[in-house]
Amino acid sequence: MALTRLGLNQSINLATNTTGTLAVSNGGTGLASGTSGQFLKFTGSTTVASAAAPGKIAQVISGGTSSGTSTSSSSFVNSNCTVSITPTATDSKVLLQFSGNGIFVANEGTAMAFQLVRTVGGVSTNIQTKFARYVGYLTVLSGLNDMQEACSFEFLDSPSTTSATTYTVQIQKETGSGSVTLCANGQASSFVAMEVLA
Amino acid sequence: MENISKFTTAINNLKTNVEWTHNGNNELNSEEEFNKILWNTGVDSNGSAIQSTTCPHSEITWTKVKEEMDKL
Repeated sequence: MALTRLGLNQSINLATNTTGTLAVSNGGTGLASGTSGQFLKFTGSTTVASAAAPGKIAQVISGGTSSGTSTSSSSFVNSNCTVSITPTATDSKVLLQFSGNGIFVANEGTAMAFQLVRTVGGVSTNIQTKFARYVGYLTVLSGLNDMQEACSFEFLDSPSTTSATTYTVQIQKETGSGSVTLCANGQASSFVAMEVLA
Repeated sequence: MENISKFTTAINNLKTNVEWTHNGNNELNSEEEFNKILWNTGVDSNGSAIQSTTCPHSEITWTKVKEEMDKL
């Protein structure tokens, strides 16, 4: 081993004059190397590299309406319940939370169904499968004509865009010969969009 | 919501399987509100209704609907 005597006010060049690994007990990090996207995590006795925790909420947008929509349509029609969000990254997900109020059906045995539509740049896409579209399904028996219900659902979308994105709740009369209403008598329905970072 | 029930029944009495949509909180008891109704004319590839403010059903006018509503 070569030894160099240091003179007064001289210093050791750490870039060229040292070898080996400094032990944690002597102030070392215990890290051999890290990878992109990791961060340092203190475990009490040492420091290790851990994967970055995903799923942080980047933004929360509140939408919804108290403006009613009544329809006898057996195909889906737009309600006034919408929310618009502009994701900050293409790999973000958008968590949608719908809480519908003032749900009313005008005839016995008439049921109501929902679906969600995403609109980006004027192009609308049904973002639910045929199976998932029947998120809400209510019937009101005869004699309860003024009974109004509520329902809620969530949906996690992957819009793959950073463009302005509008989500619309659509409704339809699912069964029966009557009509269905959302936000009857001005009851407000909320519709919230949250961007979840990848 | 008695008004919307009467309107629905009145339409059904005039013609069955007519599909319509009304937006807003105003009661459907005036010609002005009747003229805001969107009438289904077809279905697009998303399963959404194609709509028009022009009523395609000659049997249905505001006068006839009002008469039916008044009977209920």
